[in-house]
Amino acid sequence: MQRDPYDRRHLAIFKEKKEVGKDTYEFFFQMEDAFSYQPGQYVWLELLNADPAVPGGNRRAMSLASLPDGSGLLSMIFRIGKTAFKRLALELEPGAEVMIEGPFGSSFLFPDDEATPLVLIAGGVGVAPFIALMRAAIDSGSSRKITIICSDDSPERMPCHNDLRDVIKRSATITSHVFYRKLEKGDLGAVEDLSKALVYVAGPSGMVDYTVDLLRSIGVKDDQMRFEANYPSARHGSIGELIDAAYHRNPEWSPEYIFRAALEDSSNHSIITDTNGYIVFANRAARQITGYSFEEMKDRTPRLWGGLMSKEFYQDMWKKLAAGQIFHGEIVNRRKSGEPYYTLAHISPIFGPEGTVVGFIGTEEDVTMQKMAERELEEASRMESEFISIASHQLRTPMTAIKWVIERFTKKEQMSPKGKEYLNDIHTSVNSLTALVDLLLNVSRIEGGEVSISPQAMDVVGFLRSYFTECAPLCEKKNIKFTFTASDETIQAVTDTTALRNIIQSILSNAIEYTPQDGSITASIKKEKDTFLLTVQDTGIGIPPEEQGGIGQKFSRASNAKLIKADGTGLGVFIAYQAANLLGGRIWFESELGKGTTFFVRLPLRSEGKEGKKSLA
Amino acid sequence: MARKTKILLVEDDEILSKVIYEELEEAGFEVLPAYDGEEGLKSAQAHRPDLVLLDIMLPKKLGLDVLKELKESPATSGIPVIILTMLGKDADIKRGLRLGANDYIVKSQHAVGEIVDMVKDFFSKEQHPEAKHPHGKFFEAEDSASASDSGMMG
Repeated sequence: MQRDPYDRRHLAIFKEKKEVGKDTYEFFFQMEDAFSYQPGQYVWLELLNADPAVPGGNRRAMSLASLPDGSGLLSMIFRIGKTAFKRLALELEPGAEVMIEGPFGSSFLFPDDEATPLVLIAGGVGVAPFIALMRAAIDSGSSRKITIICSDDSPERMPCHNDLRDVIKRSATITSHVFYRKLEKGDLGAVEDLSKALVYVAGPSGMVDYTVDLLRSIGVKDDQMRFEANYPSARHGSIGELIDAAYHRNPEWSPEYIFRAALEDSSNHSIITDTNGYIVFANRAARQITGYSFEEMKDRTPRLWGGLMSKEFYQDMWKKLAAGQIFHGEIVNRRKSGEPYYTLAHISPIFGPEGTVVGFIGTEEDVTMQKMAERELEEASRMESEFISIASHQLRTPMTAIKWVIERFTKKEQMSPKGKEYLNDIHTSVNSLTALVDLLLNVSRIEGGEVSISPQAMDVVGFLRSYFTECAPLCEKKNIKFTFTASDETIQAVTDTTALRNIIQSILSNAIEYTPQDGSITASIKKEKDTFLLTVQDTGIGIPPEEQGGIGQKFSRASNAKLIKADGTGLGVFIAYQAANLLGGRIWFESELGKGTTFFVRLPLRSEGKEGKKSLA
Repeated sequence: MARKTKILLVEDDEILSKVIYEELEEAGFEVLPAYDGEEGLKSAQAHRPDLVLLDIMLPKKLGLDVLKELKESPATSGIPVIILTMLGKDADIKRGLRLGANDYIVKSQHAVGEIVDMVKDFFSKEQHPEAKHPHGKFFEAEDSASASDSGMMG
C-alpha cells in the first residue's frame, strides 16, 4: 500500500527503559517501517494507552537521543514528572504500541558553514538532541567550534552525563560547561565569540523563555538564536515550525492542509509566476476573479487579464521587482467576461536558495466594491457641496428682502416701543440666519477647493481695531474686560480681508461665547519678520486635553462647549483654520481646562493670490 | 428745473425691486423697473437711462448677456452699468467688469440705504473720471479677456 506522503504516522513498539540519570530514563522503541531522521529534528510521541477523552494529553514532542542505523530502534530521554503524560509513559509495558509521528522541523540542524561557532544551551533533558547533533557532526568529520552549556538542578539529575563526556573526549573543538543551578548572565557572557555564534537553546519551555531573555539582555540578537521546532511559545517560528505548531494543535492540520488554507482557500487572489512572468500557480480566488481556469492561464502571463494600466505603471512595477523590492499598487484588470475590476496588488520577488529571484508572487485584493463606494461618496460629497451652495445662494434673496423691508419699515412707519422691539428681534434673527448661511457656504466652497484669495494692501491693526470696536457691545453684555495691544501703530500687509475677517470672527466669537461673566479677553498683534502674529487669550472654559486634537476639524466641538451652547456648528474654527491655510499661515492654540485658551494666528505679511471660482463669504 | 437722473433697475425679485425702487425714488431719482433680461434690454434701448442697475440671475435673458448687448451697440454702450449680485460670485463679477460694467454691488452685504448711497457716490465720481472704478484693483489684476468670454455663462 502506498503511503500518503503527508502522513508521517508510524507505529512503534516500546522495548525497554534504562535509567540514565536520577528520575531520568532513556526509552527505546522499535519502529515498524523505515524511518529517516536527522539529528535536530523532532517527533511526536503519542501514547495509545491514554484516555482519548483528554485531547492532546497523550502527545508530546520529543527529540531522539539515538537512532541506530537500519535497525529501526530509536530512543528518547524522559524525565519523570507529575504530568499525566509522563505517568502514562512510565506505565508503558514492553511490547506496548505507540504512535510516532515525524520527523518535523529542520531549523535545529547545524548549518553547512563550518566557520560559524555554535553555542548550545541545554536545560535538563534538552541535552539529548544536542548529543545526537554533536555525534552526527563528529561522525561526518567536522571540526567546528562548539560550546555546550548544560544546566540542571543536581549532578544526579543531569541526564546523559556519560554521553556528554564521551562526545567531549572525541572532539578537540567541543568545550562544555555544566552548571547545577539556574543559568546566570555571567555564565553566558563568558562564552567566547558569542556575538558571532549561532545559539541553540533546548529544554523545558520555562527554561527556554528564561534563557532567551538572558541572551537578549547580553546583546544576542533574535536571529542568532535557534530553537527546537516544538519550542512551545513559537516566538521564533520559521514557516516550517509554524506549520508544525499548527499540526501539533490538531493533527488534521497537515502541512498540505495549512498550505491549502493559506493559499488556495484565501479570499485574496494569489498568482505565482516564474521570472519571465509566466504563471505557474493561481489560487481559487484568482481563478474566480479573472474567470480563467488554470488550464487557460498556464504558461500565459497575467497580461491575460491585465495590461490595462499605463506603460509607465508597468515599467515602474518591473523596475521595482527587478531590484528585488515589493511592488504595491492599485491595478485595473479585466475579467474573461470583459468586465473590469479593481485590485490592490502586492507583488514580491521569490528568492531561491542562492538569493537570486526565481519568480514572483502577487497577491491581489479585489477592491472593486470599495472603489465604487469611494466614488459614490465623492459624488455624494460633491452633490452635497453643490446643494449647500445653491441652497445658500437661494436663501440669500429672501433674507435680503426681509432685512431691507425691515429697514424700510423702520424708516417709514411710526411704531410703538414694543413694535420696534419685535422688529429688532426679527432683524437679529435674520442676521444669525445670514451668518449661518455664510458659514455653510464657506464650508462648501472650501471643500470644493474653489476658493479664491484676492490679497489687497491694508493696515491690519486698523482693521482689527474697527472689528473689535464692533464686538465691544458683546463683551460689555457679559462684563468681559477686553484689551488689544499692537506692537506697531500700523502693520501694512497684503492679505485677503474676507479670509482675515473669517479667522478673527471665529476666534473672537468663540472667546466671547466661552468666557464666563466678568472674565477677560486679551488680544495682541505683533510683527515678526515677514509675518504677523495675532493672539487672542481668554479666561474661558478651556478645551479638554483629550479633545484638543480634533479642534479645527469640521463639526468638531469640545464636550464642555456643547454644555454651554448646545447648537453650535463646529464650523467656524474649521473655516478659520482653512482660511489661515489659504493665506499661507497657520493657527494653533494652548488651552488649559477651566483656565482659558490662547489662540495664535500667524499669517504672512504678503499672501499669495489664488484663482478660484468664488471668494469666501 | 433739471431733469431727474434716470435709473433703470433690472431686478426680478419683486420685493427687492420694490424696496430699491422706493429708496431711489425718495432719494430723488427717476426709476424705471424691469423684471427680466429682455424687458431690461428693451427699456435701456428705449429710454437711454443714466445708469443701469443690473441683476445677474435674470429670467429670459441673463444679466451678463444684457450687459454684453448693451456694450456691443454704439447706441447703448455709453450707459454706465452697475451689476447687482447676490453673493461674491467672483467669476461673474470679473466677467461683468471685463464686459464693461462700471462697478458691482453684492446685495446681501448691504442695507438698502447703502445701495442708494453707492449710487449717489457713483454719480459724484462720474464728475471725476480718474476715480471711476471704486473696485479698480479687482480687475486691474485680470488680464483683459474678450467679450466672447460670456459664452461660459450658464
